[in-house]
Amino acid sequence: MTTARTDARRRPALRRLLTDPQAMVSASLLTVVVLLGLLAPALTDHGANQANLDAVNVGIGDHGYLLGGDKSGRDILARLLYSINTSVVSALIGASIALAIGITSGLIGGYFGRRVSGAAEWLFSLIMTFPGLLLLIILMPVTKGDYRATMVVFGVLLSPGIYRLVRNLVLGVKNELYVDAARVSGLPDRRILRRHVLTVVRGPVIIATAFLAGSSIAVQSGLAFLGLGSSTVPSFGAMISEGFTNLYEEPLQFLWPSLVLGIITASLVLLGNALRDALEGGRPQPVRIVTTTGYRPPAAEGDAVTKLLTVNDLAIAYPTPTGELKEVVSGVTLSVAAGETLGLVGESGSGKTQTAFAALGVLPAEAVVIRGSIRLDGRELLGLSERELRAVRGTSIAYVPQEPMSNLDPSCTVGAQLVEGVRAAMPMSRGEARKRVLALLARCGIPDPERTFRSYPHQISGGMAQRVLIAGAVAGRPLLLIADEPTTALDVTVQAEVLDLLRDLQKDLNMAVLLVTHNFGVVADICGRVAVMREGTVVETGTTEELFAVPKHPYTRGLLNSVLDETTLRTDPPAASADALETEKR
Amino acid sequence: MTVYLLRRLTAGLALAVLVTMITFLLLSTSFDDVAGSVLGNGAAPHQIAAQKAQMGLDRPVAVQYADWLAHAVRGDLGASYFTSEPVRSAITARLGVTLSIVVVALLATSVISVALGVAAAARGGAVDRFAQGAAMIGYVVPSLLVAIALVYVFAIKMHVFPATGYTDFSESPSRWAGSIAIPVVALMMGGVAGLTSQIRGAMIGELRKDYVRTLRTRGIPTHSIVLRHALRNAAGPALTVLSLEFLQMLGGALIIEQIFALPGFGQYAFNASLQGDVPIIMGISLFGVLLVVAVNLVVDLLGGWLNPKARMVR
Amino acid sequence: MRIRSSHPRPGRPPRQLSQALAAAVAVAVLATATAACDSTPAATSNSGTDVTLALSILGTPNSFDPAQLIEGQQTYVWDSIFDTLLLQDNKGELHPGAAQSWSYAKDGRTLTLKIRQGMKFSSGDPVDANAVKATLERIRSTPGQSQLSLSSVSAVEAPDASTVVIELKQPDASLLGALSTSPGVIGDPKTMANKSSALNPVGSGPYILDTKATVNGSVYVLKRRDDYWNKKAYPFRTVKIRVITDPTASANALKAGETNAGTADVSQLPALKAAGFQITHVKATAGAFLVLADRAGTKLKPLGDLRVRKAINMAFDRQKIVTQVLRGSGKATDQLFNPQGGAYDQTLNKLYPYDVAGAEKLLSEAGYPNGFSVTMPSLVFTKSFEPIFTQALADIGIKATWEPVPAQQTASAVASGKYPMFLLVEGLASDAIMTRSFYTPTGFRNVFRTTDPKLTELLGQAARELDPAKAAGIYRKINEFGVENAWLAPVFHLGSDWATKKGITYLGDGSSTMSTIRQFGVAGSSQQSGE
Repeated sequence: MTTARTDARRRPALRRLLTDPQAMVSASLLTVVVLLGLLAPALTDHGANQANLDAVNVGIGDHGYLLGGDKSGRDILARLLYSINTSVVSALIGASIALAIGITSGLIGGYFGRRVSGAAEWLFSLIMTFPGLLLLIILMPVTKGDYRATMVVFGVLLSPGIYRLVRNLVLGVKNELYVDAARVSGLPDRRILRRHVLTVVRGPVIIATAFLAGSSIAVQSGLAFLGLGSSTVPSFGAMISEGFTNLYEEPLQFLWPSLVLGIITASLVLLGNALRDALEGGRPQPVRIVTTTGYRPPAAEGDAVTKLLTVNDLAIAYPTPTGELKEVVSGVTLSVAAGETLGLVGESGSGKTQTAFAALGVLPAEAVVIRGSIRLDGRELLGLSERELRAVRGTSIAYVPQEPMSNLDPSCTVGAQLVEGVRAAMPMSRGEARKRVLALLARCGIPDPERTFRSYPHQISGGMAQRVLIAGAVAGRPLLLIADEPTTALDVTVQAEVLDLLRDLQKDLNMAVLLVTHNFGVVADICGRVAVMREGTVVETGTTEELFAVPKHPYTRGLLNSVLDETTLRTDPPAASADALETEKR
Repeated sequence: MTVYLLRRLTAGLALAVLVTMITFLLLSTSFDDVAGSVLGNGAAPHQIAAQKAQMGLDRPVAVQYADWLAHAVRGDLGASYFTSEPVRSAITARLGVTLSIVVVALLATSVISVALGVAAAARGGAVDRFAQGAAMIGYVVPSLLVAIALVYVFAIKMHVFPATGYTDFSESPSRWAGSIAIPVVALMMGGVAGLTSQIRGAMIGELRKDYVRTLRTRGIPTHSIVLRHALRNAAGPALTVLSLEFLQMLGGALIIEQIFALPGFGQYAFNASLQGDVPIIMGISLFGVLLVVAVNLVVDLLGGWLNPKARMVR
Repeated sequence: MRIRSSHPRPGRPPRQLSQALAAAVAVAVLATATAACDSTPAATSNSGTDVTLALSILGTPNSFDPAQLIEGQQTYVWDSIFDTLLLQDNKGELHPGAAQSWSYAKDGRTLTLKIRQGMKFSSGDPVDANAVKATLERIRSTPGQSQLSLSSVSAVEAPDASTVVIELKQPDASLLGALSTSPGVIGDPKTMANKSSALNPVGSGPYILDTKATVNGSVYVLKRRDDYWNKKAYPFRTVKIRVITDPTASANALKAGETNAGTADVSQLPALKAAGFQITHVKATAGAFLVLADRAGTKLKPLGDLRVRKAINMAFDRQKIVTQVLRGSGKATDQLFNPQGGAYDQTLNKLYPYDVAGAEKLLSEAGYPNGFSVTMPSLVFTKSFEPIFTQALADIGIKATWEPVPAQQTASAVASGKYPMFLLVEGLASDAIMTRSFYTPTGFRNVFRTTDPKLTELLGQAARELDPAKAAGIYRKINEFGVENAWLAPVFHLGSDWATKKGITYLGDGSSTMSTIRQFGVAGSSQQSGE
């Protein structure tokens, strides 16, 4: 699965990179800078160390020095251009040494036995502890101040990072099926490493290379700034250092090398980030979590409020890459009476989850509500502010998600999350809230509430987690519970228990339930009425009995038939609907 | 937990022994020069030999190292060849200066980066562009230039902060704050940029997760979702970046200390390395290793606190 | 059925927090601001002798063990703590110091010193001939720079409490000068062998090191002793010496009022002048000398030829280098010696005019029409001048390569004999010491141990001559010999510029190369450095 996905991602990665302005700008800046360095002899008549006493500190353009002369009468432009070469060589040496050592040992350490990796691990943590800069200075007599030798040493110092990265990646894929398969089929280790493992490692290593190059350049400049190394090797560090002493008189002498060095390192960092975005999935763009619907429905007509939840002609759209809006929900109308259970049935991508999210006010930020109205107990929910919505959520309307594990905060104990929810819904002391949560957990069929209360999500089973989420949802005694495929992700044996729990709670609390599902079995089990959705609209609504007995719409008939064909209940992969939504948006 | 700590500490000490041993081996190649530079210009070879003997540098390297180690275990790191200042007290004094700057810079970096990164991720739009722009400036604008500009404005023109020197916290907390203010800002520049983009990325990832939506449906206020839940989950990877940042700042402190004439660790280490002051270099590599070991331990402990899963694995 | 209304929520915590933070920051800034104003250090109160001298120096002082003192700017510290037997005034002339008088025996091999009465160490113990003898003996037995200066001494006796007799192996003209600097200090015999003396010295000098306020390697605070015999030479009650290695930082410290005296880079001068500092220019404190060491041509054959050495001397446009690179803060010269001293001869400067064609012609005559290549050590202090030297040499066809030398190897690299020629940028010393270093067969700057009968004769004369005026004439001849035979290619003397806050004056003119607090005076008050 992982391979399929990464492979699928890799191909568009290059194209994505090419269309990404950040990647393009930083890459072209780097290319231009490197080219300038390579073309230095052609671009300037002056050598980097050629001094002209008449040109000491001359201004821009004097004596044929385009950027002026430094305090020894050398051409600043020529020195800048040749300094680029020094930086490039530093980056090449530092990065390639680090990569050579890090990748080799990372592959070996990750792929082969524990003993090998133990030794490597130990050696690299040793290297990591060396006070880097100090070591480079102590080693000056050994490296004879040659920056290339220094960069070799620095490359070694950088290698632990690459080793860790590669080892972890290799450990990750080592036990993947396809590697196992390759091994079983008798491929030699060498070839497995090259064919299968290296492909996985490639992306992250490319990203790391940009940062390795950046650090190498920074260290070379730093050492030169401190006056270590040869004076005849042109270097940004040396130029900055000289410019610094001359800062008050000739600030430009300081500014030029700082600027070019800044551009190079910033470009490397940005390029690294862009590469990461391209290779590891899309550029993460911030999404406002607080999403207020811009659309405000016109004032309601005076018709009497009979139902608890009324969704009328709701239409939701997402912007496509071309900028047009594509409707995913187009004119949904449905209603849920108090205490009633409505099943919202449809295939993945039919818009049922979107409808549920709209009712909760938690549609993704990109979503646009085009028209319609959602009324809870007569009050229009569309267009409410987050603060107003917050007051409604938990207390009037609550939510049970599909995938229990990903819907709990992994770093917070179950108890803490529930207590916070309870106190948000109903102000009470911590102690009271704790008692209430423990009672709720017990009510939701959790055998040892105290223990579960103290547990972290990863310490409890999926079924338990779903019970915890249900407990969290009903904590504020909501009028309406929206359950989005609450059993899909669970083991078949647990599904029935959870449905029983929902049914019991619904009766106890006399709440209405909007059950989003693709599963007619579930519908038959629990729902009084059913709404069938297809491609963003409700095609048929009716009581469960009617609908099962005499389905009017051909689509409903089809759905029912397909269920009856199957002997067992269908179990979709849990993430399917969410993924489908993702792809829809792109 | 105690066993874990003990195991980590033992491993750290073993590492310290090894690193100092290698450092000593590397240093032993230039013992002649050391004796020579203690004597200064014009020392005759026989004088250098006598000086070497007097300093004990003529013995086998293994014996010398064992001797150093035996003393170090008892807390005696010897004295500088040049100033005769006892190494241990000299290093602790100077480490105080450097750690003042680095730790404050680190705290400030975390606060600013968290604020910027979280705001960028949670608000998006103009806030995001501002944060990214600020990070960009942090990368490109040379921190030396910022330092000098700040010195010019705040020290030379307004006399608010001193331009050079360090006042110990115990002497005057307010003057201590003044003496490290500009160095801290100069040291922070690059770090803020890196950490901000790290936190922004991690926060964006967290805020897209399902549990965020579920928490919203419970009526939990947004700031609590962002700060108590998402940030805590995003902080793990940021912590690793921060620990690397710490080590980098220790290096960067060297240049900052020079420019602000602060009697710090970096400056001290640099001069000692240039002079070949063996006892100081040995002391510094020992302290350096212990510092790195300590930082890694703290990071791992904090990481465990942030991420309960990591705690279990251990 | 109604929607349960929202309960009142507490205000907005983040906003409150940020306001509190902002307030805290504001308070902190104010606090530091006022604190910094309160304590504006080194404020010159101009009330005569209460002025604090806050001086910045470039290097960290070494150990204060009397046997391990080192010359240079750090002399400011130890010279304030210790008495020296003789005193050098700002003209470089010798005056009585701890020794009230001195006299040589006729053969110049016995020096008798009369020690001043009533002097006390900071520990309270009296300073007597035994203390002088003990210190001299300790210096003689401790390897180090001072030991070298006392190499001609064969014995030290203290016949009575106020008399010290120094016996010499051979006459040594540089001895008296040496006794005014580190080899002439008087340490407390009781403590000087202790380890503690390295950081907490006991001396009898005008100041006591305030170890509480002193931060080793950073700030040295000196408090004046009120009972000091030569108090009037030291108008400052407190002297604060700050170690600031970075020139930009030291200029900033001056401008910010943290120090009130210090040397400044030429580029800083206009700004300092504008800020009200008095600038005192000292013409020559150091020099850049290209030492053509392999005068026999053993390692680099061309250097054995006088014509080549002369050609090298003609490669430098000395005046232009001074005006352009040094911005006028220096002096073009082809001589080694201090222009303020007796050995310097203005007329010698005309010997090697800048003449590339002439230099090339000389090289051709010597058989090197295409020049030659040479590798030189790149030392800490030469780095910034290497480009112009490389270029000047390249202009006459000599290709110079610089080999980086780690700082700790500077001395050994030059002394190793590996480099047939090398560039030195270093401080000037007295004529006697410069002669010893560069021209005697054992001098450490005479790396290839070059000798010449004429020079040997002159050196002998100089060592025997005890009258400073006559000695100056001999040094001048030595200088003349060195310049004519192009043993070196000196290019310029480096000046230095002292910036002092209003009310403080710098009294030195470069005649004395010693760094002493006596070089600083208070404007308007007369002050003598001797008795």
